[in-house]
Amino acid sequence: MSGGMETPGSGAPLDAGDLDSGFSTRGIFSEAMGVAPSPPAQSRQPPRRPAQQQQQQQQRTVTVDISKHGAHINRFSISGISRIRRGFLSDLLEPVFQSQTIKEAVDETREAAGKLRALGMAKAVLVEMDRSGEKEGALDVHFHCQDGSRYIIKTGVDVGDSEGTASVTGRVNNIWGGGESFEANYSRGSKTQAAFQGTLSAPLDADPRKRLEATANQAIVANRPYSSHDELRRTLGVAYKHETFGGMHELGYSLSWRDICNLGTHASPSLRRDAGHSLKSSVGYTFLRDSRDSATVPTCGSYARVGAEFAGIGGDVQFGKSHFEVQSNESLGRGYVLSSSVHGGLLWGARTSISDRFFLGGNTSVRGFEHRGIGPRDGEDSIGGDVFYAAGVSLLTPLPYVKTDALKGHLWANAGQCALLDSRGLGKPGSSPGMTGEVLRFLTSPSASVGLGLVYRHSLVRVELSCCLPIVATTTDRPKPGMNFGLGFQFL
Amino acid sequence: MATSEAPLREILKAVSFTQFPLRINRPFFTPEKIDNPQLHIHRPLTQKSSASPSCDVKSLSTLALLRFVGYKVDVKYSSEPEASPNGRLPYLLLSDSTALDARGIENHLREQGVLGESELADEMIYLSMVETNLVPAVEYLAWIDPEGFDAIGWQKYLGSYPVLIRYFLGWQRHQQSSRKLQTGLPEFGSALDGDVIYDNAFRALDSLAVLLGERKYFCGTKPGALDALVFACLNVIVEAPLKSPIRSAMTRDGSKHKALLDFTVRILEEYFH
Repeated sequence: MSGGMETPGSGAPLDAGDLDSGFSTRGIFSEAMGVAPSPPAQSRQPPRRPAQQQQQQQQRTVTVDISKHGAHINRFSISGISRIRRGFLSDLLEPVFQSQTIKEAVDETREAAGKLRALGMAKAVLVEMDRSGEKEGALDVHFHCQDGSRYIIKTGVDVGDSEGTASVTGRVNNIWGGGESFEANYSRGSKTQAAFQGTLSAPLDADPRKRLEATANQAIVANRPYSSHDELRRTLGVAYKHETFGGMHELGYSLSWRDICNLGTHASPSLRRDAGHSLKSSVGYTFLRDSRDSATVPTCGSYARVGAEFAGIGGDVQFGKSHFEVQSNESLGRGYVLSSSVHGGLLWGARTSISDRFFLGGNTSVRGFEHRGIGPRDGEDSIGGDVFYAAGVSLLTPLPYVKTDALKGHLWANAGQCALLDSRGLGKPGSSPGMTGEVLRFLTSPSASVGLGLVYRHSLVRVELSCCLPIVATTTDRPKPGMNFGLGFQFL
Repeated sequence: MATSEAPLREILKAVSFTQFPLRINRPFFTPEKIDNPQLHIHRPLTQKSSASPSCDVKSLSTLALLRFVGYKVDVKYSSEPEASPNGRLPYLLLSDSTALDARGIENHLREQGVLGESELADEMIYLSMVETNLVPAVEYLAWIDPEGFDAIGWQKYLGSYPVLIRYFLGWQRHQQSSRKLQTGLPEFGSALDGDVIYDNAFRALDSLAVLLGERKYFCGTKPGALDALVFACLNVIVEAPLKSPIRSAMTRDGSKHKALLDFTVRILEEYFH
């Protein structure tokens, strides 16, 4: 099909340039218009009409409403893909064969071609649609595919949340002809000493937006600078992920064996209480919605993440946990952007472990404090909290004499607090006037800081250089006034 | 005389980073206070209080030594060795939150002047003999012998873990003990031989029986480190809910090791009940 054709009711012109894949129709629209199909190009006679009449001929517009022209798909064929399962193809083409009009047929074939590309089964798909020679009012569809990459190996260096990581990743696409993939990743970093992860992913109903994933990973996290211990974590998990227009839903089960080990000589008694092995068996749900224009330095849009986890189906850990994260960005014009975000979380259980608690403080959390510098602290060890909240507001400003949009001035204010719920924290017996008073104090006495600095937007990461001024802190917090450098993805 | 520099210095001092934070609040966390030193020893949380204090040789010998020298501690039962500085129980938690492993406890007692020189001149030699010949027999019984593994290793050491972790840790500990207890020279092909281990244990018991003789304690008029270690080894063997060659030999009528059994019962009655 060449040129554009407007379809009343659709609102948008149907143009080959708009399609995800190449799209070709021969004779379909001629028939719909009720005129004889144009003869093959080689037999066409050069026009002999005057130029003015020729111009008038070319400007003639014919409108055809293809949403009202009945048609159905008679035959489908595909070429170029090395491996594709029959069952997968049936699921993929079911909506295509259910089409009743030309518009539906075009839309569904575009959708099917897009799914093949999204699943990595084809790099590009050229869709060819023609009248069926066998049946009246029927169409034949053919997919010309460029086979997708079967094996991918990549190495890289990642930075994020005050940690640098070097990794190697290998990936196998379309393992069994249904868009399945297996990815293995090995990484070493400054905080995560060694981590391995393997993920097997398969689409459901031939839809890349609905996926079933099985994951196995092992990681050694070095928490010695903050909490005098290392944590070895081995996890098996399965998850169902469903991406809708509203956001991404994830429902999963995980079995995690944690080992708090390598305690130093001066590790605190609170940390020794949590040392050793534990087995967590939990189900969790997460909802994520991200409409920001950039994940690192957004100028508009919002971000919302809500999750809940319940542990206790087997294992020796029982708790309920919920957390939320909301961010909003508003462009004020002339390069000024106002951002605000709120985080919060609650962990409840008879006895919580440091492996499950929340931590607050750091360059990507509440700025102006050391990493894990806010919240319960026993000696030199940050032991985390069962409940936390944090809020931040930022103003990004244009810089004089700086032409690039990637570098901006940054004014900000952060606040937050973190506490335990047991007898060592908000549930301390004898606290006056009781737990309610302590909870009120917790909510109204956050640790807070303000500051100003620069923000640089890289395609992969956000870089901040800030002059931080901690305003309010508790005696166990670790404020860090002065110039701080931050590197990461998500900031408060 | 006030100069223009003084107000400037005051201003700079006010905005310098040393003045921040501007306000300090009370914390929302109060750590547990340790009034007395706490000795954390191994004992399954499901074990009845009337039973022996511990089924772990090192834990029991350390507790016995502290009772011998009169060092007051609060005894805490644990089944998690990772809480210890060296990854093995016991450990002593002092009031300043410092943790000492078994060797650190002995050094601490010497520094405090509580643990003096032994009356037994060759105590170190006998200690080495017990650690080389008798302690391995107890470890073999707990982690290698099938019946012993079920009764001691699986139930008492690993009983507090979920099943999946129990299997893995049990297998891991079995492998470690197998490698450690192999006898013979590596160049001639060392192997794990229970008979050799028990033979060595019996020879050690013979020597200890001769050393103890008619005396009350090995170390002289008051018990010492050797008494603590021998008591711990023999108590674990005797209290284990299974028949082992050493237990049979000690409890048999007319046994030449009867004195050692009486010694064990006497220590238990005198210092633990």
